[in-house]
Amino acid sequence: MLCAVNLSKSYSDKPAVKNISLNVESGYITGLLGPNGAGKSTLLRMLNRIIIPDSGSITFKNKPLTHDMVKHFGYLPEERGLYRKMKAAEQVMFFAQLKGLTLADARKQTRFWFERLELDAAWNLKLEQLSKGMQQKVQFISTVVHNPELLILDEPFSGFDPVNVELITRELIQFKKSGKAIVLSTHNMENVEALCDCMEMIHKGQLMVSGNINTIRKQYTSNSYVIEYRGLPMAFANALWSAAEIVSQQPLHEPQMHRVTIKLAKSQTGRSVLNLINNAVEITYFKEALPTVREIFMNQIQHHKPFNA
Amino acid sequence: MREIYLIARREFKARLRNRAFIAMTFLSPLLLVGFFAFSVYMSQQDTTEHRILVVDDSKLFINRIANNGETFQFEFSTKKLIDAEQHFAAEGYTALLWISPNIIEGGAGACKLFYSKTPGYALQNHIRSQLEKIVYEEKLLANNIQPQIVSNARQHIQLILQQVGNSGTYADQDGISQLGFIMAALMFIFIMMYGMMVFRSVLEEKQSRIVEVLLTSVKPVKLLIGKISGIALLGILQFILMGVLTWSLSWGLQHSILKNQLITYDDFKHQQAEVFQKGSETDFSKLSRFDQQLELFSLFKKVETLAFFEIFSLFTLFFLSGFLFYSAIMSALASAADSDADAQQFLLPVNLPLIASYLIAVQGVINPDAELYAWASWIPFSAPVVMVSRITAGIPLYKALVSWLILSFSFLIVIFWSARIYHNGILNTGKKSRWRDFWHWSKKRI
Repeated sequence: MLCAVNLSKSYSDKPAVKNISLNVESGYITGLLGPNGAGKSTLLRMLNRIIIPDSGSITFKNKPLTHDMVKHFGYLPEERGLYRKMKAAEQVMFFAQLKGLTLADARKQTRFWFERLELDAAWNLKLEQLSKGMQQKVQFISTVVHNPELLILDEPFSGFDPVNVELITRELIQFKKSGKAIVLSTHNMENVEALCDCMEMIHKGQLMVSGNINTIRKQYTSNSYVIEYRGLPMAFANALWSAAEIVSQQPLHEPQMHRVTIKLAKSQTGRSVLNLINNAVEITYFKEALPTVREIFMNQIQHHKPFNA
Repeated sequence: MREIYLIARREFKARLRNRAFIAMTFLSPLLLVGFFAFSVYMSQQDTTEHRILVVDDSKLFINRIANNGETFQFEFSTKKLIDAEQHFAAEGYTALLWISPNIIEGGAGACKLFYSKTPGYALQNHIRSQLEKIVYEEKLLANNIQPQIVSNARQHIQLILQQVGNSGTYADQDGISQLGFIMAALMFIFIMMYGMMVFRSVLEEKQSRIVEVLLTSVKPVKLLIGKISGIALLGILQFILMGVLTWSLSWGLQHSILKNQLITYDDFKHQQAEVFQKGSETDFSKLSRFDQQLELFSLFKKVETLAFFEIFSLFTLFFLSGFLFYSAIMSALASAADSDADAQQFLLPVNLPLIASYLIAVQGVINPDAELYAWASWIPFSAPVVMVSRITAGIPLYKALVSWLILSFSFLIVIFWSARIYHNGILNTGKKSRWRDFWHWSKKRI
């Protein structure tokens, strides 16, 4: 749906984004990860045409991105901002109309979203009269009120309490199911793992890791497995012998139940190790241990080595 | 166009509901006309009645001080000052005027007014002028000169300003210079006030980061034009409301509580016209109003008689273009500011030409032929303030319109330059902008 090729942007000769390419597809959530100052916000602003890249190109549905096309996007900036003296509903309708909705449609959609996010009571209240959480909801509604095809969200969960994080997450999943594309930037790795299908990891303006999250995690696997068994630890260790190294071991609540993480020797496979231990103990769980997004992120930040899945 | 309309409507509505706007629109004409009417009224009125007992130790003034109708009545006493001073209040007098025996020799303190009821300015003035007149006549007689001869020899000159228009019509020139000052001051205040509205609005959107969301829907130049036009419309609405209100209030006052005062003024105008017609054959002894100071009335009357709507329309046009011109610059400057302190620093280059324009206008009203005054009325930075002060002095309409066209054309150039700076400056956060950044931004494509 949205395709960016070799985007670069510098501020006063200091590069903020260097040759980043990405592809955002309908029905997928793409997470943009990176430490502070990595260039995430600059990239999102370029995708919205708020700033023009120094080089590179962006296409939307295979056509060069124009200002009018951006009206089909919904953008939630990192630093939220609304008119403090303006009434909540009036504000949302104003943004909806700017995105091309008629006044009647804007009112209808605003009504729908205010009911959906339980904001009815705030309809006629000025923004400054609302709690921070309610203001965040108003901002979110302003982003989605025009039913955009692509959502670009910069730190969408910051400032929300856990209840509202859940609420927004539910809405994002709903958007994904209805075939919308979503790009979200966040520091929260758990959000990415739970929500996103793809991720783009940026560091110092460069794309470090890009692709489907599961594929990336498999690529990053260190040939480790998590095993739960019933039996004697000594018997388990003897059965493994030199085929694998026990990384961690802990007893579970049930009698004689244990969970271990092992790292296989180079010549071994999961199946061969399973055969070795199957006769020594009773295996109840056996699964390859994939690295978490956080582990991949930390690894990338430390080693700063580009990787494409 | 739709985006411009939506932005303009939001700016317009947000400020229309503002209490400060409502208060200013309705209270300022009320205060202006009220204050003016009050001054006129008070300058002519002293309704407090006074009975003044006069102890004239010089014996020169006995029964010669004229009463002022029923308001000021003078009665002469033969008592000694010390007795009169003790009893005048008990006898129903409001004041005691003592005239010293050596008054004719002159010297301050030759007369003294004792009072139980505070004497107003009108009473003091009446007493002073009566005594001066009598002393003057006495001194003439002492030198064997009949006062009547001197009176006949005296010629009061009333300078009547009369401009001849191109079409041979006469323009009424009373109060013109005062009006020039007022117009220049009003223009200065309005451009500053409305320019600051745009400035604050841009700064607010930048500081609250609303602008990022707006720029995904609206191009910067449209956002800028929408914002400025919304506030300009508000300004025009305020002008019209204030103009209509001022005119109505002044009309109402002239036909109610100031009716008598303005009859006096009308007499004065008729007498002036008579002098103009008859010239040296005028019998000045019959012109009761001719030597009165009536400038206040003349200015007041202007609201009704001067080419009010022509001046009002030109003022509105110059305000509109002047505001557009300055607000385009101010919005570019505001977009570069990252804090209120920055904002103050960036405002200086706008404040200076405006203040200079006002000073030129003030000097120009005093000396209308000054070259700087004429030049400044063509230069876009100073034209709005300076030209409106010239309009009141009866500058040909085409000159005013050419100056307005230059100003309006300059706005079109400035707005595109401003939009470029605005586009780049508005997203420049967390870093202090320098003057050279403006130059770089103005060259960048948007």
